[in-house]
Amino acid sequence: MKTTNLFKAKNHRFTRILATASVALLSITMVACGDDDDNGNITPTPTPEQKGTVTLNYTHVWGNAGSASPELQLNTQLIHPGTKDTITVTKFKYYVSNLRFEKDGGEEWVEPESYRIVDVTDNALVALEIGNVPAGNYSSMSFIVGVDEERNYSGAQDGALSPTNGMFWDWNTGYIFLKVEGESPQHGGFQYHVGGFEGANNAIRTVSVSFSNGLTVGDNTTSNVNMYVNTARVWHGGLKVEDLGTFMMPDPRAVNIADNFQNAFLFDGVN
Amino acid sequence: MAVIMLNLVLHIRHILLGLPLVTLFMSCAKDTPIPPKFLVALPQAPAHFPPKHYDNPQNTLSLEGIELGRKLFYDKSLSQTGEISCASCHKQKAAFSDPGKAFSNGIYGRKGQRHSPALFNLAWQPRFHWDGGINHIEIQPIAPLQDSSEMGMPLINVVRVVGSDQKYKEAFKKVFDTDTVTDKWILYALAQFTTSMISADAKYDRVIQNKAVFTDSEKRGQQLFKLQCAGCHKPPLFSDFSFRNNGLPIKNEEYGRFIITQDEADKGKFKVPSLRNIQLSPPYMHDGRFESIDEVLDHYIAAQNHHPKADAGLPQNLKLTPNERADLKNFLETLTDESFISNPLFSDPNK
Ligand code: HEC
Ligand code: HEC
Repeated sequence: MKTTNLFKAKNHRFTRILATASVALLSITMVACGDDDDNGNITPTPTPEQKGTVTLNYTHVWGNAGSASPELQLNTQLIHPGTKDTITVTKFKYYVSNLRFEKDGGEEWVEPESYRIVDVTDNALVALEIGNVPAGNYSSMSFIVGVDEERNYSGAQDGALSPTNGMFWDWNTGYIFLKVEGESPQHGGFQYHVGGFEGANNAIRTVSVSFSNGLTVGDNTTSNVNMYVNTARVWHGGLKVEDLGTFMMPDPRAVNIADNFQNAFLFDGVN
Repeated sequence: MAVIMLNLVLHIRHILLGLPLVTLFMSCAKDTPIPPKFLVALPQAPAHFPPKHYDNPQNTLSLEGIELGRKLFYDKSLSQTGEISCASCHKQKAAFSDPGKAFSNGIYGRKGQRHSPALFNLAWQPRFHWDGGINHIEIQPIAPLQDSSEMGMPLINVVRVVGSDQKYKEAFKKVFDTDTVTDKWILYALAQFTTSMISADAKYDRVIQNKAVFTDSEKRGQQLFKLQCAGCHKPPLFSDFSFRNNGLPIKNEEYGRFIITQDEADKGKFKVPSLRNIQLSPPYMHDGRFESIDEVLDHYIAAQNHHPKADAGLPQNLKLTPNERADLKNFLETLTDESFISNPLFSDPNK
């Protein structure tokens, strides 16, 4: 997998150019012999755009060693690798928004209405399906952990952005980007509700992932992007449970956690 | 099919108010009963108002939409106990404030920490609540619905209650062409109602429209107002919608805007409320501490002295002779809009 060499990649691209060219030829032919309608006009048959699906696989782990780190288990006592705090996580939930896929040449595809909630439950693996990705060869992707500023000002919204998902502050308008709740035997319960889109307390963070060997999206195919998410990273930099307390509004502590969590995503590979 | 509506008498003021028009209906079938909704027009803003702040092209106002919002506003089943509706704390006769109550009663008689403000001209307001914590009229209702001392209903339960009611389902289908009632549609309908509550037919407005004239006392009061009050209570909406410290001594650690921004400079700042319909909506201020306009004026006479962070734009060394006080109060009275509080478009649909 990891040894895909340059030649192979180039070769692959060449095949793709051929494929594109033949599709183009085909569609010209199809236009030429398009059906006549009642008025004798030729109705051009539109070229169907080639689109595939990308599945983002987020495996939530406890530690920064990827597959060597244990998976995050909710409602189980865990020892933080850095601070040695004993922590039981009961909720781990966040927004993944504004997905973009970039091609080598800088051309990018931005997913419309791109809002999803990742809610870690018994299964440490959360898979997000991204449909309608134009076929092509991509070199990187990025997403926001949270919700962009504009949608924090946009009034009533549906789907992932519905306030019924429990990721919204009703008294101080704004989405909760990341919700981490739990307890520690030394310090009792904690609730970190990370959000905020204004000024110094802006907690919107962009995560960029570059695909070391590229990501190929084919027509009607599904490609996987695999990532490890180090949930222990929330307490990175020596942050102890007792330092954080509980917060439920934009706050410097939320900014701290947003900075930490931005670096929790470890790219594993594509297949 | 084609109902042709001819307005025999087109009385401008009545259109503006959405009061019944005198209309003649002609239709193919003789004596077709006229549904009452055809007798009112959409509430309109008068020419002397600035452009509205609220404009959502996806939520175009319709009489049916406003009517649906009105049903929700007066519906007690949207509360945990089935006893409290929006209108329990926002009563039309008091310009949709809660008359005589510093703090309103929510479910189980619980009280909040802030006075229920009057509601009107909300389509012009950029932020909501005394601390401006809410940035959009559509999502404002979520706060009272979910607050455990107001209506105590998680939004998801509100969706369940409304979505399982056949009459509501039909109404949502008609207004929004949707088969499923989601929170977004409920909030859209409530916004249709709240943003159409336009109050613009006080004597003050009719003077601007050359339909009435001020008395000499009201004129003198207007001059005083321009000098001392209009900097914050800016006409024609009688608020500039900023957050200011008007010099009230701090009570109960209520820091207002600071709670939202965490900015020291915002301590003791509250939304400048509109002074339209002010005679109808005592008690006054965010905690309802003053029961009369006279108490308010007494405060402003020495407002600078009460709070170290009082706004520099407050009246300085204000002195009011008894005549001046009477003039100012007479002017404030011209801001009362009787037709707003009797407009059937906004009244209890269950009565
Ligand atoms: C228990 C009393 C109570 C109920 C019920 C209630 N409100 Fe209120 N309303 C208040 C209070 C108190 C405030 C001020 C809140 C604050 O500033 O924190 C307020 C503020 C508002 C505002 C903001 C006004 C402004 O100028 O900023 C609007 C709009 C409003 N309410 C609409 C509603 C709607 C719609 C409902 C029903 C879904 C409702 N209210 C239910 C008491 C109530
Ligand atoms: C510097 C800005 C400013 C000036 C000038 C000002 N006010 Fe106010 N006014 C406010 C603010 C802010 C509030 C709300 C304060 C609170 O509730 O804590 C308020 C509240 C009021 C209220 C209570 C309204 C309600 O619905 O509860 C009245 C009445 C009032 N002002 C009248 C006046 C009059 C009359 C003048 C002129 C003599 C005046 N104000 C000058 C800022 C100002």
